[in-house]
Amino acid sequence: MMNQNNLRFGFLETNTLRYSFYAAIAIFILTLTGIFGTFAQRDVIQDTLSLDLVALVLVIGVPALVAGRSSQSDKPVITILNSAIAGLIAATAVILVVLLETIVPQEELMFVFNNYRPIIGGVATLGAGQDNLIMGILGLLALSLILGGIVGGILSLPQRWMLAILSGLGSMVIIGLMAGQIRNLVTPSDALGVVGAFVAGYGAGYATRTIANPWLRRLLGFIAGGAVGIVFLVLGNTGAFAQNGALLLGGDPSIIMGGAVNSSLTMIIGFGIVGLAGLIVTSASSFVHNSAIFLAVVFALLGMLNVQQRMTVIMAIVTFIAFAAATIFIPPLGTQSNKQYRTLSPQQKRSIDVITGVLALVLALVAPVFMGQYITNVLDLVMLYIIMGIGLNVMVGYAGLLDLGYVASFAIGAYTSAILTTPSIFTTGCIPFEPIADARYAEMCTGILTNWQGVGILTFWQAWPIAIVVSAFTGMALGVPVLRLRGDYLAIVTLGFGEMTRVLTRAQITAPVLGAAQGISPVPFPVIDLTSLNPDWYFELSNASTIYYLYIFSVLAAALVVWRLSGSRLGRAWRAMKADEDVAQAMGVPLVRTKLLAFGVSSAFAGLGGAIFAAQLRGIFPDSFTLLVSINVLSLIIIGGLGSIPGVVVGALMLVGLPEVLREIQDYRLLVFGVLLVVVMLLKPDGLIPPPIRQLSKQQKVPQSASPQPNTQ
Amino acid sequence: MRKMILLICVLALATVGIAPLAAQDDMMGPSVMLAPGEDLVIGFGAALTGEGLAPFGIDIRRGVELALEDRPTVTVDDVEFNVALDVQDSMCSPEGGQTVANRFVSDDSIVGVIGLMCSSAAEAAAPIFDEAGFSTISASATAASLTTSDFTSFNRTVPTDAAQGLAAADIIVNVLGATNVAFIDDGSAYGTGLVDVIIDAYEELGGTVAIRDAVTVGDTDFRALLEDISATDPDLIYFAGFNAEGARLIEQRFDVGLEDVPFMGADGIYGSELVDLAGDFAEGVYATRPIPASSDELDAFAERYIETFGEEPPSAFNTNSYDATNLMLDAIEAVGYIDDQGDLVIERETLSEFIRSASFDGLTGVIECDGTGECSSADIGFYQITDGAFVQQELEMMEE
Amino acid sequence: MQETTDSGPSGSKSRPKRALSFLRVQNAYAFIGLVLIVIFAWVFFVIEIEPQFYLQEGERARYAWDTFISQFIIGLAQGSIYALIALGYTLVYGILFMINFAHGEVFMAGAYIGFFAINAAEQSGFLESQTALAILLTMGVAVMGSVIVAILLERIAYRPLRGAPRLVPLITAIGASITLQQLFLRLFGSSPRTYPRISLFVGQGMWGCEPVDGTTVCEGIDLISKSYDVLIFNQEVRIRPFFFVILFVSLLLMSALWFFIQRTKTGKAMRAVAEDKDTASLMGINVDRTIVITFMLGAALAGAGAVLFALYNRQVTPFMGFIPGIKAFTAAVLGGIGNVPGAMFGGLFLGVAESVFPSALGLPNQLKDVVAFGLLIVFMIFRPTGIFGEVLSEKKA
Repeated sequence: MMNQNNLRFGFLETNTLRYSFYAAIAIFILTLTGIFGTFAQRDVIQDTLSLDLVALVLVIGVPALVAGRSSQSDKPVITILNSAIAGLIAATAVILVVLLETIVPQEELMFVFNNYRPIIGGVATLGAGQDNLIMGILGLLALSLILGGIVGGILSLPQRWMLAILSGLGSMVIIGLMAGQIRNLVTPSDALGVVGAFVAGYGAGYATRTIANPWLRRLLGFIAGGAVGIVFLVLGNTGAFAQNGALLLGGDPSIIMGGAVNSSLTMIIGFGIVGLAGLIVTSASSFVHNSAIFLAVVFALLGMLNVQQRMTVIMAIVTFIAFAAATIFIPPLGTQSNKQYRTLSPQQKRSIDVITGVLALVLALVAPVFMGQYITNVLDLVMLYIIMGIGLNVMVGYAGLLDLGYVASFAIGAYTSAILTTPSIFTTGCIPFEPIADARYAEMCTGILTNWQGVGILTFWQAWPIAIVVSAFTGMALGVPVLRLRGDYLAIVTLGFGEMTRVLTRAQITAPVLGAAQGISPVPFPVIDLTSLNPDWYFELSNASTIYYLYIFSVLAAALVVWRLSGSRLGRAWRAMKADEDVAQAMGVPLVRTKLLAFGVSSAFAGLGGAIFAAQLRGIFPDSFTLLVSINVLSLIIIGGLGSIPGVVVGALMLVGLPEVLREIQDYRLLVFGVLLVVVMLLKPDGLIPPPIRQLSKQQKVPQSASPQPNTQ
Repeated sequence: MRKMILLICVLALATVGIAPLAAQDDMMGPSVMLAPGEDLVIGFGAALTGEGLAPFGIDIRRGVELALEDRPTVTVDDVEFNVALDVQDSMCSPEGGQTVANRFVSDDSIVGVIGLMCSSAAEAAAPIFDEAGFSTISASATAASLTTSDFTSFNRTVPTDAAQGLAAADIIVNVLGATNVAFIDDGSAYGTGLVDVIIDAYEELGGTVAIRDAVTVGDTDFRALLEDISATDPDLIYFAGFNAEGARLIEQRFDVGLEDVPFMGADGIYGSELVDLAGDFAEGVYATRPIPASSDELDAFAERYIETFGEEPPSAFNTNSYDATNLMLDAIEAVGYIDDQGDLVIERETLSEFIRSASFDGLTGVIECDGTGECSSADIGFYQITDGAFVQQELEMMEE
Repeated sequence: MQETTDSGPSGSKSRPKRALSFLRVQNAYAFIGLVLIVIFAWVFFVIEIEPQFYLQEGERARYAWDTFISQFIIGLAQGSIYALIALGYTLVYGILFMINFAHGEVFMAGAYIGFFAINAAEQSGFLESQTALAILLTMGVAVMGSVIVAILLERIAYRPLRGAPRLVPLITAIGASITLQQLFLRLFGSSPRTYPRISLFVGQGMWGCEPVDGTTVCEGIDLISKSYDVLIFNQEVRIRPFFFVILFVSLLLMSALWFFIQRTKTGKAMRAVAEDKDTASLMGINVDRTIVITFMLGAALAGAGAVLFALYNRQVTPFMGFIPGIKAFTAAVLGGIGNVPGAMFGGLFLGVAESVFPSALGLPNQLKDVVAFGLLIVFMIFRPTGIFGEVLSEKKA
């Protein structure tokens, strides 16, 4: 896509000039937003590398990277030179701002560019102040040339080495930025134990390659892992993991030993399962194999981070080496395992797939133990959006009805559940206040603490299905008047529904029912009360890590339902209707019923999500139901790949998870988010994971970039 | 179909089986431990991006920064610790509040939190802070329900809306002598809550509500609404909301012939931002805000603010956040101790207890926490814009 | 099939033909007539008849003719701005069949750039001495700013995706919208910027004579900032002349656009491209260039609208484009998207509806969006392709 009219003058290619010119404009503007000043405070590596320097490197490196990539020359020298020039041009944009700063009085500059802070003396001039500005500028130019050259050099390396260096650097910055959040996730002793069991299983897998009976091998893997577990247990009982962390390295005491698992047998079985996982991946598809090992690497790194407690230089180097090495060495191993996977009989393949699926599920289920409230909470939101994405996919992806007001169904589910479960506790007439300034106040009182006068007679479990049904029926009811509308007219009318929801949830006239701006609070959290079976079985789903299970259960159920539906008669009717309404009708598809069912099913999922959302927030406020929700859900299914369930997962991770990761760059997160939205769509117009080709086979034209994806389960 | 139901059942069972794993998960120690030389981290959550409210968030943050400038370290048993601030954008939404709360509680080195800024965010966040045993001190979340809901973590150095509402109703009827008042809010929890309280008290004092309506935040043309208001011939227009909408209402009332009707707001419109936005139109606008009768410290603080940040405070909350920070640091110094290994230990429960019974002379008057989290005992000051600045008014009752 | 069949440039061959439709309006006028009759009948009922049942002696009705007239005029002013923005949506839709979600941000960009222009003019005293010229210049600068943003938008976010499934440009548009909002927020800060209060006096000696300190001073009528009490249909109404300035300027610009599309060569090219891109390019029309011109025209109207808007409401923020953008989009659909007179009428109608209906129906003004969108839904039931419809030879996917 980047090679149009790429002429070359000497060593210089026109693409280099073109891209670096665009980049220079972007960098000029970005510098005026005060990016260097904002980032100067933030360290990526403790006392060594601050974020503004990273920004500067990126500002020079990215244009160099793009220019180097677009260079068609086989000669590394030319790539290097082009990259260097691109870096140089990018750096001139920064220098232009420096010059601007010397010419224009500071107040005037800051009147126009409110967030701009002087950059002279910062990284942009390599620390040089007004006095030796020339030196600073020259230094920056030299640096940009060198940096661009280095980028070009990296690009000239074999692909795998290049990827290794880039992934090493990238993960170093990301882990450095997130260090505060992730440093307490995995203790060193747990990392040692779990990764040890995994490696033992993996090793067992290679050692037992020649054994034909798969179940015997699996048993061996289980035993290998279990053995590590026993060692862990014995060491743990001596107190080695308790006070000063693993082998006196430091860090937090072991979570596993510290009571997360309360019986030794469970623990040994757990380690055995990890060993089994290690063994399974040696003969699984390369995707499963590689992700499992990357996960193990991350786990180990997190354990190390727990010892260091912050991103130190050592930690940074270790991160870099670990990721670079992983990028270099894992794919060949994956190819090997993939080769083995291919040779298996379909039956064996299936059994491996099933075991991988179950293991992945187990991993997902125990994950909250390690992830901590914050990350679990983010994942909860991601899963909420996955549920809604799956639902909206029915409308947009299957039935081809563009819906911009999905938030309406979401709100209906949330409010229904909240209204049915929340008892009214603030209806006492008069709450007297202490005299504040004047004795006259003593006589006065106010009874208005909330507008909400609840019924609150049901438990969550009773209200949940009702919320789903109510959402589904309102969805259908809203569908009736718009049956005749097509395409963008439907979009704008549904957008109208969404906007009406936003207004009505805040309005005074609905306050007695919906609580207006104060919302409905506190919504009780779900309780699983099985004390009749076992006195200990009383669970409150009151925080992020417990509500997680409700979400994951719903996601799986939703995916299952939609997966089954998509292959059913109804699913085919939807797709036929999407392809051509008139033809579908002629072929006997009942249009009205099919459309209304699409509305209903899709809304039901939003209601399902909404009810859990109300329980998770423990309160419902109109602020949560804005157009942004509709836009986000729609964006995520398109970014993921319209009509594809794995696509929804990836899309939700990107649209909901990414802004949280980007929280680390504070004020710039939404800006970067918007840019990424555009860039992803430009690079992958069919979404990150387009639906399998099967669904498109009837069409004459398959978009060019929709190449068949590797079968990745 | 049967397979599907079976699978769902298995999933449900598996979920129930594993749930206790996480339920037992007790992430937080009851205390914070700091080795010598480590930073003592305080969380800060406010709306820092987004429409309309960011200037408030920035103003609150500046109050905290000034407090930390005064006290860059805390000293416990002669050991000094640097204080660092972890600034997070909690936006003004419940999800934002919850996300930030979860973030703070999962970082167990954070001692306490200044914030959250908006009532809705604070309300959604409070159960999470409660569960982790955290203490938070908000400088601006004024919703009355926050201190009547038995949250153990929530404290504030700003009077509840109920206090301001009662005072405002009193001023409307007894000082301004208005008995036919049009009430407008901005549809936010703050705005509607405040108007609810005021109307309650105002009607008790014998006033009639000419009209009650609301504007949409971010909307620009309120003239049609003002036409409706002008049809009711009000004595006064009361607006509970923030600067941007307030300024538009103030200005647009000239287009519908309401320029002679006095306009009054609350602490949401107090500050230089309103005058910047509405210019000459803002002359004569009334506002209330919680503040003691002006003191020397307060004047010195205002001067210092302008000196440091180069502009008038855009809102009234910087003083409250200054007090909130001092309250937090006082509490840390009071309850922290050095253990045998030389580490600083702060037990969360004692910290919370200390804050709930703390009492000191702050910038906004005597800070005296009453056990429910209500710490401010500030009077409500009454202001009018005169010559482009809010000037405090004497309260002269209209006795007949 | 809506999302996937029109991939690839040749895909449009199989599409139903669509164009900016200008001719099929007879039905629409009947519809509009009917709607207006219903509305006036209702208003008449509410003002003249209903109060007789509940009004006590000496009481003044909540809702009377003066309120109605004022709100109607206010609505026209607001609606003119909606219409100017809606034209941008409709032009782009007419040619590319895509919703340019970032058009509200083009409007916002114009307002910001205009702010710096008028601020500079104010600083230099030029605004004081040559008010009309300064405002025109501001408008020119704002138009240029909007046009540049729109060109960049088209070049970066839309052109590479011309052959992609239809929803994809919608997402890049949303992404671009977020990017522009955040970029302006970071560049120019989160506090609103305020346009200066400008007075532009006309008609000295003809109107606007006021007795000041005993002598009669004739300073004329301030077209921009001041408002006056006027008698309209025997009702005393507060009128700001700028209401009419907005309406007039908007109508002028819209007529210019109409003329451009109908009478100029480029306009014909636009219509040809809207009809069929492939055939148009065979006829020697540069399709890319025509599309860029379409974007520029839409942006120019938005930029001009932005300055009117900012002189009217004064505050400029990075998020100011969002609500007018949504409303204008609604207006465009209301009128029949892809249809120029439809967008004009839709904008004016939406503005008036928002302003008049809540009071006429006795609802709080807070619900004006509910009323507006409720009306939209009702209209869509009766005329599923907007009031003016769009010329569709077959159907709309």
